[in-house]
Amino acid sequence: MKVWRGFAAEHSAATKIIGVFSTVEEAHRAESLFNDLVQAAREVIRDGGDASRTAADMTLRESTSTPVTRAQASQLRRLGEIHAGGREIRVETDQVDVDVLLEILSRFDGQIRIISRDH
Amino acid sequence: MKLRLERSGYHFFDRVSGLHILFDERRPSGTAVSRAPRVLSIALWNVCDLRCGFCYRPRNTDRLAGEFVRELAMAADELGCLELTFGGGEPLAYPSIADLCGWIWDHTSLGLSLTTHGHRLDESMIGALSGHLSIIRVSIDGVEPYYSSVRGRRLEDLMAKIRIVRDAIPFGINTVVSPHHVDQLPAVLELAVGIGASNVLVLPELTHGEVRLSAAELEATIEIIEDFRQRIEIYVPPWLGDHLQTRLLDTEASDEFTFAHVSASRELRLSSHAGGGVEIMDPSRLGEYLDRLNCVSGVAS
Repeated sequence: MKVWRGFAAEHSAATKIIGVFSTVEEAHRAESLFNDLVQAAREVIRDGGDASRTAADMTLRESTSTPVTRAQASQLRRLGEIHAGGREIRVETDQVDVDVLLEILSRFDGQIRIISRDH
Repeated sequence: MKLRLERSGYHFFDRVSGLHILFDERRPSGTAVSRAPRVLSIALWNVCDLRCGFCYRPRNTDRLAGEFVRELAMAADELGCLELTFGGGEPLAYPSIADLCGWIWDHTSLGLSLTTHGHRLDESMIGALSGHLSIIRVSIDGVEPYYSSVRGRRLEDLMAKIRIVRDAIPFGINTVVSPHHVDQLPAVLELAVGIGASNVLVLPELTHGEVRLSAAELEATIEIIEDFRQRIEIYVPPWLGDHLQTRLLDTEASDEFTFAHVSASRELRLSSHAGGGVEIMDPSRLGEYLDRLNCVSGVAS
């Protein structure tokens, strides 16, 4: 999945992604899992080469419903940690690839809104 | 949001915010893929009340009839096009332009934008266009005295109009970088930051598709863009993006049909300066002309 904002041939990925959860606890669980993945992705990238044997890669593979590609590990590293505020998680990003983030938000039944950053 | 089935995947687009969501994990089957480009550019006419030296519009009075444009918009919408862009010639001098924009906005799901020199904007026109355009792009290629020397109008007058526009319609700035005038670019970018433009499209001057800047001027242009990118969104043509340190966002498959242009002489082309066009006799049959264009051009087939 790619998300961006713009008209005609020009585009920007300056978007704001908001996940709203039914409880504060659910928001924190999503935050915790996502940040674990970010940390694991950093280790995978740092290890370089074939990441399939690293513990970090195992974390990635076990925590998501589909095998995590190296591109998704890069995506996680670029997105960085997220922080819950009450029942919400808000992420401002310039990245077009955000499918791992959306998967984590939806896993904890978060209602997801994606809007342009300046709205 | 409008859904477009395309070679890159399942593409959702919101014409008000400009938000795109592309599900590229799966791709539609070949027969379901849109025959239209993502963006269709339309030169409404070739008439303009300014005489800017770098302008590449044909110097004639060719004009598309309003009914032709409406039929074209309907066909493009049905074929899966996401956006129309109006240019020319000066689109805001085109007869009943506000009515045309309003009709397209009300009768299609297309995003709609236009590029203008801006000097015909007034409160009445802005009010009529408001709510019927995704974004309006105003051309500013330098500050005074350069601006007046190019446009024959005062920048101060234009800025007064932009201050009215910015409260009613999202607006961006287009700036052409010409040989010997690269030093105008930082001034335009500062002005854009100050006036609250949504973004700036930087266009190195072309003649027949060839860049007119020297290698040193192109390098200077890139440095200026890099310097300002943290302060305002800057867009560049894809070929220039290859030179930037921060790569452009890759938002389509290599075989995606992203863009086509309709000239004021009713010719459908892959770009405003491309050859090998197809004349549109009946705009309601746009799909057939697009198929022919792709056969002629050997792309997106």
